[in-house]
Amino acid sequence: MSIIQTKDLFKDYEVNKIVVNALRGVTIDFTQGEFTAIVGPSGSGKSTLLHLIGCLDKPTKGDVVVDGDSIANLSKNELAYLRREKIGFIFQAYNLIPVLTALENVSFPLTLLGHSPKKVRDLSYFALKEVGLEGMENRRPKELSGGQQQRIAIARALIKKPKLILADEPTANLDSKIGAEILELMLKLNQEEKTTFVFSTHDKMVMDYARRLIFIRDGKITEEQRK
Amino acid sequence: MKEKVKIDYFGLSLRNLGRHKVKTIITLIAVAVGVLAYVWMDAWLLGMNIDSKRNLINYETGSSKIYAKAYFNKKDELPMYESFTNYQDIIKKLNDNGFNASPNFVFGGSLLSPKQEVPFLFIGLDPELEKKTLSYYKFVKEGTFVEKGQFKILIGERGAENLGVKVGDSVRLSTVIDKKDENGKIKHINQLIELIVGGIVNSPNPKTNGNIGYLPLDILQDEMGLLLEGHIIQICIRKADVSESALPNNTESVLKVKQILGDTLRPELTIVDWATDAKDYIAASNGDNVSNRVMLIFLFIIVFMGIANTMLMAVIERTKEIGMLRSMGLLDHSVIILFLFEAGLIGFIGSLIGNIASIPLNYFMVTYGIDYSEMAKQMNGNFGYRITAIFRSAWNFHTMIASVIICTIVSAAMAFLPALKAVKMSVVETLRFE
Ligand SMILES: Nc1ncnc2c1ncn2[C@@H]1O[C@H](COP(=O)(O)OP(=O)(O)O)[C@@H](O)[C@H]1O
Ligand SMILES: [Mg+2]
Repeated sequence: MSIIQTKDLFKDYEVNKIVVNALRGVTIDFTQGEFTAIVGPSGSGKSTLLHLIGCLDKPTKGDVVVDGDSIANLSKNELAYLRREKIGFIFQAYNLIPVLTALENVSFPLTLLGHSPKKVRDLSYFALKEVGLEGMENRRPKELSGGQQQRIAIARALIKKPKLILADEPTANLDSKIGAEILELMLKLNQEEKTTFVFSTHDKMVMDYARRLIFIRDGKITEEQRK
Repeated sequence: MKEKVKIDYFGLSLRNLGRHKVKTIITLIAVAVGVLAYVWMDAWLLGMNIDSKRNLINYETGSSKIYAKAYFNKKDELPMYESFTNYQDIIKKLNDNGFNASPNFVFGGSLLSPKQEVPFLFIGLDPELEKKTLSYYKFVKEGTFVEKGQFKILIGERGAENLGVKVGDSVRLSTVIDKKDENGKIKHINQLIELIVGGIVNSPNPKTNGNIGYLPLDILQDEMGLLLEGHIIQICIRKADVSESALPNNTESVLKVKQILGDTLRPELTIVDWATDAKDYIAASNGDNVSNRVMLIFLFIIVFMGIANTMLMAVIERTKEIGMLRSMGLLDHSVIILFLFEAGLIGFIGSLIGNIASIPLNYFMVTYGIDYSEMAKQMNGNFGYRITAIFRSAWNFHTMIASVIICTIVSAAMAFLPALKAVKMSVVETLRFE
């Protein structure tokens, strides 16, 4: 079943009167339970594509369809509500909130969904346990290693059981051993929870984990592989 | 769509304030010091204000006064020809209804000692009635209060210094008697009266201590005095059983006195309350308040600019975090509220600390005050306020509460533009921000 489709997606950025065509006609379809890597060199448009799929931004041309609904006519706030419910994000720089503890960071998306404090607490403990951070609940991000911080970010993306988790170069800041552990974790969650993952990378080792590979260059899809 | 989720803005703001503890503490101290200075000054001004009003009423005006209408309209010129007579029934009626009243004849002129001639204001009075109505007689430093039938004058301490005279010295009063003849024309008659200094007064109302002389009304009636023939300028009124430390209330209002007097208050007469009578002085003292306050408001502007700057730095520092919060679905207005809360909290905590710090200070100022008598002498009593000796503050709880509310709101408002900046960038841009 298709969760998200992009239809002939174009995205232009204008900086100092110079127009950059970051995406030039991208059409893809993601189905439930996929574990997909978007692969391409730096500047090829991976982040831009993930941002559009994640409803963080609107395309210059073309459309994104989430659960069968076009986002073209949604307002800023409506997009925010959509992200709140359906999409989880993992970033290269972890992007944790430094003043919150591990547990509070993980809780935040659930709080936004208006769950009861007790439910939020229980689910957050469980999510941290799932990513192997049991006992670290009250640590602040800066008291943890990069790998541990990315695990918190994964738990945070996962906790609301979103349709889709988008991970923009999730291992780029980690050494290859820790990076592999992070991918093992994502793969495990993909298999156990049937969570759909789409991640970007330009790392050969990371590509090996993917079940589906989409190659992108200069804002266009050049090749697709399924394993 | 309306946000239906409860976000813990308070907790988040508190955490965010903990990011740069030193900076937060410095900002809090700045707010606290500003508020402390303001509350302290306000209590001081209120204290002086109340005290000076008390001194005005108890030692100078009473709670209200009766004048001839024609006199009141140009009373700054001391038009002694606009006097009135047949006032005894007014005084009796007031006395019968629990009020004290004292008839005065007020006139200008000068007092001469062998060394000096000094312009003076003179008040002719009936000692018994005056003592019941006003209480500067309690502050006669040397000699005695005015006595009936005696050619003696009670003068203000500073006036005595200016003239270089002591109790028992001879002085000469020089004035011009202005009298209306049958045709309404004003006649001028020069008059000299030989007097002995009978006493020196120094009350907490500087006017009683200056170039002023009090003398018995009865010696002014014939050609030895001012040819008054029963005329007076004013009647000072005060309720008999009131406390001197309280300002007049409704029970001695002009309205009340008018009710009591009824027709006895003839149409050519008017009654005014103390505040109307001394309105120039009250306006002057309010003016002082404003300029002091304006100074402190500048201090606050600096403090609030500091808060705005701190919030701007915070927004820039947290650009990426804000991007993350927004990508998780936090609405833009929640981001704004978060920053408003944070700044508001600085204002709230800072002003609370300032107020708490003001309590012991003002407790001292209200209970003990500061003795200014020496300084007042050196400054020749020119404070603009009718107050000497001891300054005491007064609690002003309105100001204390208002300072917390206003500081909180204004601080929060200071974060508005920075917070707007936080959500003006698109989410994608904030995520890319380095
Ligand atoms: N917000 C932006 N403003 C201007 N140019 C941008 C912006 N985002 C991306 N780009 C440009 O679009 C192109 C694609 O960028 P990006 O999607 O970040 O590539 P990748 O993630 O594959 O490195 C690049 O040339 C980049 O400079
Ligand atoms: Mg990128």
